Formats: sequence, C-alpha cells, structure tokens
Amino acid sequence: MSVDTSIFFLRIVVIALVYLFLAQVLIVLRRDLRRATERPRWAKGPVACLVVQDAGQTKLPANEVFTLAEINTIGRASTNSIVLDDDFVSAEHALLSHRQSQWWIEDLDSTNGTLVNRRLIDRPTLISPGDVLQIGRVKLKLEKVQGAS
Amino acid sequence: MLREVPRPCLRLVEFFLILTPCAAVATGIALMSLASDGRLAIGALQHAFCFIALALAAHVLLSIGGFRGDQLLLPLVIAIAGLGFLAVYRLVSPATATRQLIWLSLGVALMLAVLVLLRDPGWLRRYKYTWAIVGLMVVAVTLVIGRDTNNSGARLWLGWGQYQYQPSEILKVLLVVFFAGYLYEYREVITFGRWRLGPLTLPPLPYLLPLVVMWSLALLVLIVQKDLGAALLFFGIFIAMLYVASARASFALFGLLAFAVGAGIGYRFIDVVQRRVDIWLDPWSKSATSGYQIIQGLVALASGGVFGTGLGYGRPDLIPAAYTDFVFAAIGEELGVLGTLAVLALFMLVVYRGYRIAAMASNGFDQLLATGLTTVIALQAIVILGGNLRMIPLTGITLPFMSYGGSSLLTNFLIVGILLRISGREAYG
Repeated sequence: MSVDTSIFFLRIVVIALVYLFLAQVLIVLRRDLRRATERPRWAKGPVACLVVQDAGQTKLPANEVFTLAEINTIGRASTNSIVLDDDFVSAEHALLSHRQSQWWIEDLDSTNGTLVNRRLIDRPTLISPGDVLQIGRVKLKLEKVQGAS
Repeated sequence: MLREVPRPCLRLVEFFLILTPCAAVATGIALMSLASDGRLAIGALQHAFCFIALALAAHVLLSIGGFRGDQLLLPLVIAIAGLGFLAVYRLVSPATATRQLIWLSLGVALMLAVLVLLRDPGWLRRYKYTWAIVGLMVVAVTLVIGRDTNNSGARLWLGWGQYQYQPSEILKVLLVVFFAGYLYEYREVITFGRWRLGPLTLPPLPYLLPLVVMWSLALLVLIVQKDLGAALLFFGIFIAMLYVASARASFALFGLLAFAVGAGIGYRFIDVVQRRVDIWLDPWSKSATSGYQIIQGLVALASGGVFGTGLGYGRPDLIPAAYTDFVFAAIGEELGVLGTLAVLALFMLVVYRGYRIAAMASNGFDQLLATGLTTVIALQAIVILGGNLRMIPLTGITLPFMSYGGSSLLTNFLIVGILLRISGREAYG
C-alpha cells in the first residue's frame, strides 16, 4: 500500500472514529434515559403519589406531585416529608403510611382535623387511589404512579 | 482520622467510551506524521502514546478510587481535548504539543485532587464571601502588576518567572461558587419577595444588592482590564443563575435589557468595544490589519468544505493565534463541516450532561453550582465559536479543553472535577 492510499484511508478513519464515539455516547444516553423512566425492579416501597388538587394558601403549583415513601408525615413544619405551608395546617398534622399494600391515613391530633372525601376522620382510615384528602385548606388526591404495576 | 476507603469499582461504560477518542488521536497523529515525513516518526507515536496513557490513567484512577459518579463526562472531555491536542500538534509544533500534554496531565491531576479533597461541595458554600473576595483581589492585583504577554493590549497575566496564569479564569469559578451559595440561601426571598418604594412594587432589591455589588465589581475590573470576553461571560452566568434560582423570567428580561444598554454605552465610550464591533461588521475593509485574523478564519472554514482538506494538508497555520482563539476554524479547514459538527455535538453533549448532573443533584446548592459551572463551559464555547463564525464580535476567549493554554485547561478540568463530585453523590450512569 502506497503512502498516499494509506493517508487517504487514515483520513476517513479519523473522522469515522469521531462519529463512532458520538454514536456510542448517544447509545449510552438512550439507555440511560430509558432506565430513568422505567421503575427499577429492585426498588422497594409503595408506588403512589399525592397530587395537589387545591393548593389552598401554599404556593404549590396545581397538580404538584408528591411521591410517597413507606411512611409520610404531613404538616406545616419543615421537618415533615410533605410540607404544606397553610395557616389551617398544624405543624404535625397527619401520617400517611403503607402497610400490607394498603394506604392508611391517621390524624395526629391536628387543630382542624383531616378529611377523607369530605368526611372528618377520627381514627386511622384506609384510603385507596382516587380518594381526596383535605388537610387545612389543601386538597390532595392519592394516585398510582404511571407505568408502575 | 480514619476515613472509610471506597471499594474500587468497574467503570465499563467509561472504559469503552474512552477507547474510541484515543484511537482517533493515534490515527490522527499517524496521519500527520505520514503526510509531513512520508513515514511514521517515532516522536509522533510517543505523543499519541502519552495522550492515550493519560486518558487511561484518569479512568483507572477513578475506578481504583471507587468513584461511582458520571461515566460520560470524562470520555466526552477526553474526546474534545483529543481533537484540541491534534490541532495544537498540527498548528504549532510537536514541542508545543508536549507542553499541552503537560498541561492536560496537570488538569487531570487537579480534577482527581478535587474528587479526593472536596468530599462535600457544601464546604464551598460556607466560605462563599471569602471565595468571591479572593477572586476579585487576585484579578485586581493583576490589574496593577499584570503582564501583557501576547501584545493584545490587555494586561491579563500574572507571571512568576517563566510561568504565567490568567486570573480571570479562576474568577469565573469562584464567582459561580459565590452566586450559588448566596442564591441558595436567599432564593425564596428573591423569588417571592417584594420591596415597596412608595407606590412602586419592586423585586427585593436589598437582597439582590450583594449579588449586584460583587458582579459589578467583577465586571468593572474586567472592563478596566479590557478583557471583554470574560466580561461577556460573567454577564451571562449572572443572568442564567439568577433565572435558574428564581424561575422569574422578568429577571432574565431585565438582564438582557441591561445588556443592550451596557453594550450601547460600551460601544460609545470604550474604544476596544468599538473596534471589535467595527471589525465584526466589516472585516474586509481592514483585511490587512485588524480584520486579518477573522478573514483568515473565514477563509479557512470556506476552504475546508464538507470533508476538509485532510489533517496536514490545509494551511490553518496562516490564521494568527489559530491554536488559541481559532482552533474551531482550523478544525473546519482540515476536517471540514464533518469535523466542526462533531465538535459542536461534543460540546452539546458535555453541556447536556452537566445540566443533567445539576438536575439530579441532591440539594439546592449543588444544583445551582452545577448549573453555573456548566453554563461557564457552554457560554465560553458559544462566545468563541460565534466569534470564529463571525456571528458575534470576536472576543479573545479560549475554547474549553481544546485551545492551547494552561490557565484555561486547568480551570476547565477543575470544573469537571466539581461536576463529577456532585454527580458522585447520586449513584447513576
């Protein structure tokens, strides 16, 4: 192979390698994005969220989503897992927990009480997706996370 | 004090991604050696070998250190640095390429040092005023005892014997740290606060004041130094970070308005600004003097065409300062549109990755810091690429990771180090 042919060949190889690299990066990115939208199989814990229906006095945007953990505290204090900054919400207002694949809401002796579907609760109450909680002036709807089993 | 030593981990994605740019650099250097001497020179192969060794060393050290953060950023940076290394090798001399390699090694070492020493970026937040004042002081000192090493009419360099450093480079990082720390602390007041002055309702000016003071001091120093590129960069960083922290479009709009006014005043009263804009509008009438560089850049891009003349076959060395300000035009001549598009794509991916690290970060300060640092890289690339293509007036600023120059390489690797550290707190990638 003469020098000229090998130079011609190498010219193509250089630019081809650069584009090969770009393609590789894009493949990794695509896999990465797909993994981010999928819920990993190893992830434990309940798959539900609270969607804000009425933000009350809080500055939450409408349809703000709170992803839920196993145990969620709701209240005005910043130590809660779900903070609702509304004057009618107590510092530690309610507890939303997941036990034996069911959701339980419990009022923590709040001043203004907790309502499930407009009814005041007086004991730990079972709720399911679609139910609406009212805490202070904030209304939150329990929903399943899209795409989860 | 005993510290928990992280277990080494496999970074397979990063490993396979790094191999390709390494192969491209080796091929490119072999090609240039064949084109100039008609055979493979041993010195050329040494350069290629050293570059590959450096890239792999960075990867291996990250793996041994058990670093579990982003695996795409390092390969992307290595790919950009590889193209820049080829350009410097081609444009200046193998000896300069050796110096570029030394700077690259120091940059990688700095990046790793950041990962080892900076366990928690929150530490930076605690000393935010200190950082801002240190940055401003270093630049102010340059103003007094600085040197003008490349006769550009601006004294930007702080030298000690043979070594020089351009302090405005580190000022950008320090100022981003300050902005991130301050905005994190006061973002709610700044976003929701209102300040009443008689019948007017204004944004919370008292809380914006420290930001504006720091930022105007920086701008003032840079304008006195005639470092327009850096001034433009600071303006952009400030607006971007304020917007990200507050999500108020009015701040961004006001910033752009202020920019328009500032640019108008600058054009009227600062001769450097006026000269740069005039060259940009009409380089052809000054083709022998001040417009020479930009015209040579355009000619280089035009003669490259789609496929380029091939590495070693063009004359990009005719552009003055091609290896710092006009690397992009030089790539355009020898690798053509294919090469320039690849460079653009690489920068876009780095910036995407940086913003993704910001979005995934676990706390507000890390998010703002990563956003600001990524914006630094993005804006630098936009300002100098726009200047090369004559879309905006040319300002002397380096193309991150590509241009020859120690200050710029060190600073940009410092930024990568901090971004990797922020990404390392979340396990992904």
